[in-house]
Amino acid sequence: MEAALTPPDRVTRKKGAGIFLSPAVIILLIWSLIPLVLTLWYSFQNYNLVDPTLKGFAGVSNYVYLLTDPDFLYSLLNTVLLVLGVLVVSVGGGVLLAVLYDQEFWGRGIARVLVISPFFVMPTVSALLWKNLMLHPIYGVYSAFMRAVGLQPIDWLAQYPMQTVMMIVAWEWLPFAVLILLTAVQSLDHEQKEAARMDGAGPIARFRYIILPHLSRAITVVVMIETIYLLTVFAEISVTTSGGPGVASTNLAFLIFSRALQQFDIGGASAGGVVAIVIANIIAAFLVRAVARNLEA
Amino acid sequence: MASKKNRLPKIAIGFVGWAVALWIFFPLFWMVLTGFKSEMDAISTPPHLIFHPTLQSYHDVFAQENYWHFTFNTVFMSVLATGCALLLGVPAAYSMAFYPGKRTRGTLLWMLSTRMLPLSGCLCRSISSPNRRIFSIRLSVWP
Amino acid sequence: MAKVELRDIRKTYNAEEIIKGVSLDIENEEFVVFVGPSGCGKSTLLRMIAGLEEISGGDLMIDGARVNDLEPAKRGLAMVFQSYALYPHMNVYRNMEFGLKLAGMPEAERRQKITDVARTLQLDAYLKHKPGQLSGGQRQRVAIGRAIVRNPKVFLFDEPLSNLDAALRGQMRVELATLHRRLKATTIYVTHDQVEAMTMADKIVVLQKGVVEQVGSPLELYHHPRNLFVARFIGSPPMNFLPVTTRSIDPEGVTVARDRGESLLVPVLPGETASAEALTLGVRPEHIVIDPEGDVHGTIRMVERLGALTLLHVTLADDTLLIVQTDGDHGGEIDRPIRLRLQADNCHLFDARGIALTKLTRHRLAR
Repeated sequence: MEAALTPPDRVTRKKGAGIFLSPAVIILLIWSLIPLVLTLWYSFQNYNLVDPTLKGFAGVSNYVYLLTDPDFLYSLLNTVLLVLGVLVVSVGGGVLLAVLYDQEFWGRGIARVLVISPFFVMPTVSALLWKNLMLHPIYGVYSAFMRAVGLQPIDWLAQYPMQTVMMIVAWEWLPFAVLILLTAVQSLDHEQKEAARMDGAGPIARFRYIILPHLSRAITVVVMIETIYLLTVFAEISVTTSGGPGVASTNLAFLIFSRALQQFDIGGASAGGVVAIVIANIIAAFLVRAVARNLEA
Repeated sequence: MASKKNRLPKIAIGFVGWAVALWIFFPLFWMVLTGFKSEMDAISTPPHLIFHPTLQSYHDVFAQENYWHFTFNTVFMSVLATGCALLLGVPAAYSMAFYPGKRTRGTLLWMLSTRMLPLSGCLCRSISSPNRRIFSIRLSVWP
Repeated sequence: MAKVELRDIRKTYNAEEIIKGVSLDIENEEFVVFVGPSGCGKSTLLRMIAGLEEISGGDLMIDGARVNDLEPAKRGLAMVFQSYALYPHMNVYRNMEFGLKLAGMPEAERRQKITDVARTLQLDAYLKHKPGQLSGGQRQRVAIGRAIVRNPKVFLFDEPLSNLDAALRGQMRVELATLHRRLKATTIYVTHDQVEAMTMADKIVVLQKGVVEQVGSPLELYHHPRNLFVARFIGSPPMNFLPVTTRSIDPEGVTVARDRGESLLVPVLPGETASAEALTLGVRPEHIVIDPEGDVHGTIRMVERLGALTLLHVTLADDTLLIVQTDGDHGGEIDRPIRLRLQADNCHLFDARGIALTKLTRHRLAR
């Protein structure tokens, strides 16, 4: 992608390039730096909206309190579970569905649109949809089916909160994975598939040795974009279980929210925010290395 | 003259393709359907597929809440955020694509990492600005 | 190697018949070229033989066995694609290994075969490279290597030289021909380039719109084209055509003449059609002689100097364009008048339907 410019041209143009780049960098810097600094500041303060008398420098007590809080560790676990679970379902299912919808069958175009539709629904709407219309133990459609075959309907959100939230988020994001992966499958040179046929590869061998490697770049993109969002899942949890029962379905984002806005402990929430930032950066570093490798390839 | 044995896989694939599509789409379909039901019909057990459609629920939504206000907010926020992201992102992408430097990759990846912060991690009491969401500019730099 | 027979092969696509009853015999060790303009069906025919397209009607026999319903891999064929179709994420060794591994060949045998073939094709230095790191010619050799390694009964080539530059193409033509002789392999080769067809084939099949126009050796097609299409297609620069009318018919041939032109005795059998007035005279550029007393008057419009020979584009009084081939030292100048003579013995006559009238004697090189 490098234009073949002579050295003097390059140097002068580089200065001009900086001007184009700087607004974005500066604004991004401000938007991320100011809240970061403020959050950092608050995290070292005793700042509780409920008790205005409690003020002053708190040292690292907020952090200590946070890191020894079993709820915090539990929410961390939930965050990881949520991200991994949704990734597995959406990418695994996405690859299989992408191959499926690449085949020709009657009404394929319409079927594709139907599969992609959940992606365009707002997270709050999706969550309410599943909570009240589908999974509701009394009024839900799934419960009606269970009754119809003689089973007792299960209160999914109460008994399996984390898994249910995972399923809802997966339902929202599977279409996205299918969309990206389908485009990648369609971009596979069909002569390559034919060469594989001539070499004696059946459908499974073709999938394993030809299609899957071709998809590796697209899969990386999907994993990256989904992880970015999945770390911050909030609406689905807040609307369905409010993190409960207890902290069974609380992830890190929701924990910070509940500490800050519900327990009015700004200091503690800020500490949580800083920890979230650190974790996000660690994960970003790993992801970025994986993506950068694919970028060069 | 497609032989019989070639037809069967195609039909099976079509069946699976449609089964999955309908199962995924079903909640949305049900939601739209329920919107046209009266409150009584909506909470009936077992749920009805056939019913008398009514616009009462739609009427209630617009009457009880100031729906247009929220809609306007949503649209305003998305348009403004998209607009700002493009305004900042396009020149940045241009410079990164055509005049790549040593720090280009690092800058790109740092921008990406800011995206991963949970919204509540950027908690800031006084600011409720719509520009909170900075979209990933990287996608426009893809060579 | 193997014998391939096509019996009345047909292909229908979307209610349109694109291959209309093709019957061919391809003998053991023969190099057969399917040639024709774009859309004539040559690639479709090849793909039907390969098993990548369904055969709508007719029978395909390989070594006497009907293989219409067999999977491509079970027919004992190997194909080299136009775009090489190498597996980009595998190195050269693995590309060639893929088919053998799937067939269950043991590792030691695989290694032996692949190293042998790589040496033959001068690829041994590149076994660990990925296709993306190779040049066009090298990639093509890998594609050929991948086919050879499988020891197929028949080799299929789908326009393999189209993506190469001219110099490389000439070199690869020679290499492919040498390879064919060494492997003694039955080969079916598809191309739109009639030079490749002429230089490489034992037998050429000319196709147009799903129909076989003529089958024969290169020189047979060159000297005895069966109809206008083949006459026009084979030979570069192409044959010249002039409308003529019959003047008389003798045992020695048919005498024809152009409007206001001298007559020409062409040694052909009249058949049933010569007595009809309007025929087409075909004459190749090298069979038109520059003769100061020649009866064809024209003006030189363009001179193409190729070094070894010169091509003159000459317009006649009635605006017909003739391409004349003469030797490289000819001093032809534009807008100069020129007089030509057509060598009657080397002319062809085609009737109103475009079918050639049979020549009285066959060319000594055309079997």
